[in-house]
Amino acid sequence: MAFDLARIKQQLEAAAIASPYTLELAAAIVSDTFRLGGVVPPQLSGWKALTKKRKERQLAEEQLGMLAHVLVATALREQSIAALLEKPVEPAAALPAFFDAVVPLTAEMIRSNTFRQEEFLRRWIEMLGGSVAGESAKQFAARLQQLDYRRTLAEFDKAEGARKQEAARRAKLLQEARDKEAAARGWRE
Amino acid sequence: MSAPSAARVETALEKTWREAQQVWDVSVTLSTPRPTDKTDRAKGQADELAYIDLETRQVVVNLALLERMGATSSLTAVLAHELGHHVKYPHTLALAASLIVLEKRLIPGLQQSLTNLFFDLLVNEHVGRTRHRELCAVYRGFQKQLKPKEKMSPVFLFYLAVYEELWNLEPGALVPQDQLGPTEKSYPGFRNDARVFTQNFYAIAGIHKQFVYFCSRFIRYIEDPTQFVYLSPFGKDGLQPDSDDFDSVVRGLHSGDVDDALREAKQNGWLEEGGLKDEQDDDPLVTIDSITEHLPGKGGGDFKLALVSKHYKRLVDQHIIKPPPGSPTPEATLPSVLEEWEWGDSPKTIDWTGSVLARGPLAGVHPLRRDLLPDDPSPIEKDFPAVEIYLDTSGSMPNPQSQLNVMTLAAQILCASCLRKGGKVRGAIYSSGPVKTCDWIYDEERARRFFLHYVGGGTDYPFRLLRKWAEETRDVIRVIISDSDFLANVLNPTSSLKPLDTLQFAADRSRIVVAFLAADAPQSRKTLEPALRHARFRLAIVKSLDGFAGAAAELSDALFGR
Repeated sequence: MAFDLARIKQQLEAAAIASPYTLELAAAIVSDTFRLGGVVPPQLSGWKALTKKRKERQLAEEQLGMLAHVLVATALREQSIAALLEKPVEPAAALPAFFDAVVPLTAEMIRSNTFRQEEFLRRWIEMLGGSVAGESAKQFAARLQQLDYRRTLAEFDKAEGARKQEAARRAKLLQEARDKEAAARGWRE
Repeated sequence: MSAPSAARVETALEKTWREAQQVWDVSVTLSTPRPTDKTDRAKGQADELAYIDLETRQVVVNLALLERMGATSSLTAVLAHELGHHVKYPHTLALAASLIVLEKRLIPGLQQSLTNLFFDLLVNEHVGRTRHRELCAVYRGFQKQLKPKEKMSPVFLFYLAVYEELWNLEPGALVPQDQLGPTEKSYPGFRNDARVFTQNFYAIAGIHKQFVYFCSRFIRYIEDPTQFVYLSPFGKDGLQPDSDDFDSVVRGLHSGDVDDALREAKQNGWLEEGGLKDEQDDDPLVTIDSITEHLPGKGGGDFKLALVSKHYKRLVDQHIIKPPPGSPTPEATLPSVLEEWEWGDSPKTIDWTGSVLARGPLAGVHPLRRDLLPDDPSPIEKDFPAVEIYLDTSGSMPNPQSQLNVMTLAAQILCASCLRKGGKVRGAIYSSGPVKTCDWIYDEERARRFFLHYVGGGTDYPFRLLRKWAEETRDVIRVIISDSDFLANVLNPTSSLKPLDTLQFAADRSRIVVAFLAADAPQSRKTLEPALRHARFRLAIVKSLDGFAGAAAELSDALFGR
């Protein structure tokens, strides 16, 4: 099932920025999506395991709220249902994997950062075994890798040592330029 | 193949212009873009791919260059890019000026401003949503156009890598393939840096915060700010804030946004990570100095003088709360003599009554005109103050264009007070060596600019000039602005001019002579005692330099009335 990601993103741009749903309502919306896709949704205890019992409880609750918001506000819901009807997934295994994959993404990031938003949507599509219209499976995987915030930050940190050294040298250079300007101005009271 | 006719080019430009407006979902009232012509050569912008003159809001596009780049199909994206500068980034030149000032604060000594690259990143993000292929063609074509000597700077390579990340392109799609390895080696983590930058930059709310983040990341790719220059296809496509734009920033426009941005940047560690430091000097003249430091030649000097002059005017106005300069021009109410009305004269000037009385039935054919003249008050009724100011600009005081010089400010206050009373001013700016003088000035701005001159050597009061001017012109108020060095000049045993005699001579031939000094009062009175015996010689002492401006305002009130 190929998802029309561009359309979903466009609809999301026009939607309210914050999720209006409580935790229970958000769980019900996601459950309904599974149910309409012909899949039995997680039990109440399953949702508790996915949110309240997680280490990143607060984060998971925020993410669930945003997921419900995106499902209701865009065509993601109907396309997810179609994907589930085409190729059912087991929520008990798929949902924990999804929440693990989006661990660093806060609701604020998903709302305000178009890259984090796309990563969040692609992770959902990946969970459903879907793809993005106009992209090959390889391109889909490459884009997901490019958007992987955790990986980017990890690799970014690796280069921080070099950056810190550069920053110290640069600070010295800028201080010299500052002193030079002050000296050119001359007299100080 | 023959060149397309001007009409065809215009029609094509009109069509693409409409498409460009659709990119921004706006309809603007700007005139259709025009191709580059010789007027752009005169402005030094003939080699630009395109630019928007933000003063006249005219978009200009270099069609020949676009063709040489092999990017003629990118015309809509190029026009949309220029339109983006007009409708959103920066939209106003005051915003551009505010970012330039912020940039100078963060990266002192920067040779070429990064603001254009910054605005281009914002504009291209929007244009690239629908037309990034066209923009890519421009950036690739630009690289083909570079001469062998012209190298792309690391900043520009990073900038291209940002677009690769933004538009989901393979590394090397815009950054030249042969540069990928060396750049990654010179700047470890180059690719990830571009990725993180792209993914954070566009999510930051607030253009000033975005700009601080932008500076903190791009600074890594600037080896030496004082030597930094870069080439870009949209390198000089706008952004020429004038002195009014900068003046509004010096007065505090956007200062709240800047403070918020810097506070957040410090909290997030952006400045520290980038090796940047925010050290703002509270003196607006230091800000002006840094803005104008890298402007070339005489233009830069005039620009700086305009900004400094506006700043001193504000300081002067703080001390003189008076009605606007001069009295309003008298209304034209006095009828003049009848004259022949001719074709081309305003019909409003025809005096029909006078015409009928003088010409009878021919009045309609040969009417007469009568002008109304302003009823100027008699010169005898007026009492124009005339002031001569002798301003000491020795090295014991700062250059007024770089830092606040309170003696200069005092001179400016006296000047403005006199001129606003309808008077006239002339001045002598001295230190050691030649004295800078001017003829009588009636205009406040000219006077302000004259008294911003600075010499900066020793102190050598021009007694010879005082004598000469006193001989030439009587009934003038003469004010000497100096410090204790003036007393040393008066007591100078080697002087052949007999300073005290000269002061008395000047007092004889003046309405009043005032020695306005920042010096010890008893010592001043003792030194000037012979001159002080003269009824028209006065001593005004300022206890501390801070009090100079206030004292000048009081002296003005005393000399010219409130």
